[in-house]
Amino acid sequence: MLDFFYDIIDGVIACFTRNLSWNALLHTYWFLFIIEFPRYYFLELVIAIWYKITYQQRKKAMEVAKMKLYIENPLITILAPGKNEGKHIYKLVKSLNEQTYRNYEIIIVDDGSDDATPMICRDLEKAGLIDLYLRSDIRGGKASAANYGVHYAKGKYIIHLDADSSLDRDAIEKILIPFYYDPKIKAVGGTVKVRNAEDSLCTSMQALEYLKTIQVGRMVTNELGIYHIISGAFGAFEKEKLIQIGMWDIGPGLDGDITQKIRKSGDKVYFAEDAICMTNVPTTWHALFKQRQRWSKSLIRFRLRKHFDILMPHKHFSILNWISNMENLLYDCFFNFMWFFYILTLIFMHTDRLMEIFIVGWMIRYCFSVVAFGVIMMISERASEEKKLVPYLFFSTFYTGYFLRITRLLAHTKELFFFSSYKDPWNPKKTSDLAQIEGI
Amino acid sequence: MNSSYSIKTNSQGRKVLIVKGIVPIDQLKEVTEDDFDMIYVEDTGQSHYELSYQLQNMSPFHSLKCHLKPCFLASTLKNRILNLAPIVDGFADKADDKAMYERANEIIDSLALIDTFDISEVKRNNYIYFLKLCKYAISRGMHTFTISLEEAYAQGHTSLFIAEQKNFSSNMKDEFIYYNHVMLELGYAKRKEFLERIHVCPHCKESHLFYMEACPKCDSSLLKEEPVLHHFRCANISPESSYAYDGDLRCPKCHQFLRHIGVDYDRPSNVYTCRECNHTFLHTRMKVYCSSCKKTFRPSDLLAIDIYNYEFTSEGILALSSNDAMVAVSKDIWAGYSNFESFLSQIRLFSYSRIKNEVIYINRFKVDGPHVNNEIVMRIVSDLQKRYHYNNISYKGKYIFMATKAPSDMSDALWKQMEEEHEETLKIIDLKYTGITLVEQDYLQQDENEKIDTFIKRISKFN
Repeated sequence: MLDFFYDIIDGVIACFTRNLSWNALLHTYWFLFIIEFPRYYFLELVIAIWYKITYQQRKKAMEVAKMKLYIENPLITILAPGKNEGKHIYKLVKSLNEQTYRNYEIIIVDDGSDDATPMICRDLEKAGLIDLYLRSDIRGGKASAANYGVHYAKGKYIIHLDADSSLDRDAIEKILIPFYYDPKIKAVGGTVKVRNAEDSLCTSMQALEYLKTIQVGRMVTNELGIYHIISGAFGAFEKEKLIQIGMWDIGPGLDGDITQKIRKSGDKVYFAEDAICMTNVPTTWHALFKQRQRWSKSLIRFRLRKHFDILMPHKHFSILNWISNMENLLYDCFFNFMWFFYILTLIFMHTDRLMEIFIVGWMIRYCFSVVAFGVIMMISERASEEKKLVPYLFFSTFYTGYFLRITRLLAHTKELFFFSSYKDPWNPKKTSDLAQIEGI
Repeated sequence: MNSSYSIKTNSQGRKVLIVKGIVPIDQLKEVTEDDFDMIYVEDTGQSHYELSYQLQNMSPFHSLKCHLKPCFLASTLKNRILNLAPIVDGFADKADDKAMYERANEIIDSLALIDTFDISEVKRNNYIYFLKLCKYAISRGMHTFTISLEEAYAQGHTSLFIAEQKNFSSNMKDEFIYYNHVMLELGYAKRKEFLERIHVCPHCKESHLFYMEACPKCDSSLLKEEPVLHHFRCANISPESSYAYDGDLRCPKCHQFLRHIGVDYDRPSNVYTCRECNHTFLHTRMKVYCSSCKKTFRPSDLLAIDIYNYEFTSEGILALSSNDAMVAVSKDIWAGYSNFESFLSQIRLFSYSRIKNEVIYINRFKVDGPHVNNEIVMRIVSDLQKRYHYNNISYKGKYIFMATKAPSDMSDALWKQMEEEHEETLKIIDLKYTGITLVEQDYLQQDENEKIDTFIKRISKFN
């Protein structure tokens, strides 16, 4: 047994002393260097540097936009639809009470809760802590609950929140400013961070992932004009626009879908990296696996099927929309399948050196992660607090490189061949059946 | 309508006053209370109001000459007496009905065993009135008070004690509830069975309440209720009116027709919209309007009253038949005044009818001067009573005590107003009674959660 480990160590040392050459590295780790590095590390680094250089200029423009916001001081609607979320509502309302932007109404939509939610919400409504409590006695799904709230919303802008979210005290103000920065912006996404990062290894890894893929990743896509998903946990929409595009359609993945609909209608979407929302993430690997399966299926269902027209030439063709969708499909779906075959090739072609390849691959990835973390530190408003996540970079290869890839791969396969998102209990069967018939 | 009366003696020697129409019996100089033993009212086509008026004229409690005497009506008047039925002993087809005489004999025989009050004492105060009601019940063999919930009574239920009273004052009700408590404590009566818990107005204790749905924001009842429809296909939810399309239902979002409930759409809830303030809400707020005192309350403010059936015990029948029964704290209660011991018991009475947020305040005044005597003090007490409308007042030693109920969180303005009133009163007393000085000594306030027993102990020490 010991001999086996000594062989591996010898192999790794040999790899760096005798066999190491750029050619050899590129030949073995081409997927890392050609596919992943340019997009997820190099591009992000360049854009982050650009972001920092142009920061002051943007800050000035945002100050002007902030002034315009407060001059108009529009009523906004904070909409939190959900099922059995009663226990989170009070915390949410308390965090909203702390907001710097004060002209808002709170609408809670209860999608057929079967716990104490109705009682809690009615009490909060009586106490004047929420403005309107709406309830469907029969569960209709998240999209219908959100649409229900929009119908009774009085605000000019609607901020969609998950009930278990809480906000930085200037988050509402920050998410509204972009509407006054550029009038063509009709929807703004906020940054979602993990509140329960210290609960388990699983949540710590997600905290790292959220920083990388949401705060930095979406800042990059935003700068490139291909930002394509406004989180359901924290997103702001101009109400008029929302109604014009028919609000939310049946999910899962309705947040990505509505962003696509706004982009298709010719308007801009924007990512406010400084509007911070905290949310609780799954604490177990099993729960996380199920959540990511659901999210990943929506890529096939919406981007590949429902909004396939974006990729085809048509009257309202937009090159940015095309790039946005294509980038998403390529990196999250196509290259995922390619990665699978890449791994198979490694296994069958280098069976005797598999352990060395794996360890060296981990080392390379670790170096990439350190670069990515440096980018996070450049962008994040809580860099000093988030430094404590550094030790978890050690696991990031296993988490993003293997766990998330395999999860996505399975989900995409299931959705491509078995349309399994329509069977997801996240939505009521009555709506999923009709959505499948209609192909939406 | 022709009004007349006649007195006939029946076969058993009882004298029957036969009344036709409206006859003011107490004002008939030629008829004395000894001239008749019972009354019979004939049907002369009188209306309900005329009949009610006549029954008030010959009330067994208020009429001097008809005091507790058996009273019968023509059978045909049965449907016209409504809520006065409890003070009528029966109905007969004609004045010489045998069954009527037998019943009247039973009552007259019972009355012979009961000490009645001196005729001048008729309704001297609430306490005497209460005792008369008890005596009336005992003479009629009504040892059990079978209470029923009746909308015809403002209190919401029948009761021996309130049967002939239409305009029971709030204080009187409090007093009667208190007497019932004392009767139970003394063993004169016992609760037979629990009947129901009803809710009454906390202000006037009446039950004629309107429950109304109102807007939680502006309290208006001008509301519009509308179902919302959920279209499964496109997840649209909006009010039914937004789906209305030429007699059909068509989704305002995807323009498809809704054909089949449960397959295409459902109705997950109803939503209210206030037509006054345009507020939308799922649950209306209830408000309660009292038709008697015209005040509006929240349902949670209503006073819950347990309704029981009661029955006299044999000790109770014996005690109440004599004039020695001491159900009230004192026979000397009038116009709110009582001796100090009774005053303390009256404070306890207050606590039964206290509504939310109310506490009891006691003010103590010191009467001093060379000419102080009982008569003058009682005149001062009477003046104070008229001036303040205090619920209760007493006098002991050199001190006058006044008790009232008021909200625990009185505003500064109200306090100031009260102080100014006190000063003015003291000046008036000073001018009116030479050689007498009246000084407000101090006041005592019940804590919001303080039990009445603890508070009474504090008042006793206060003295």
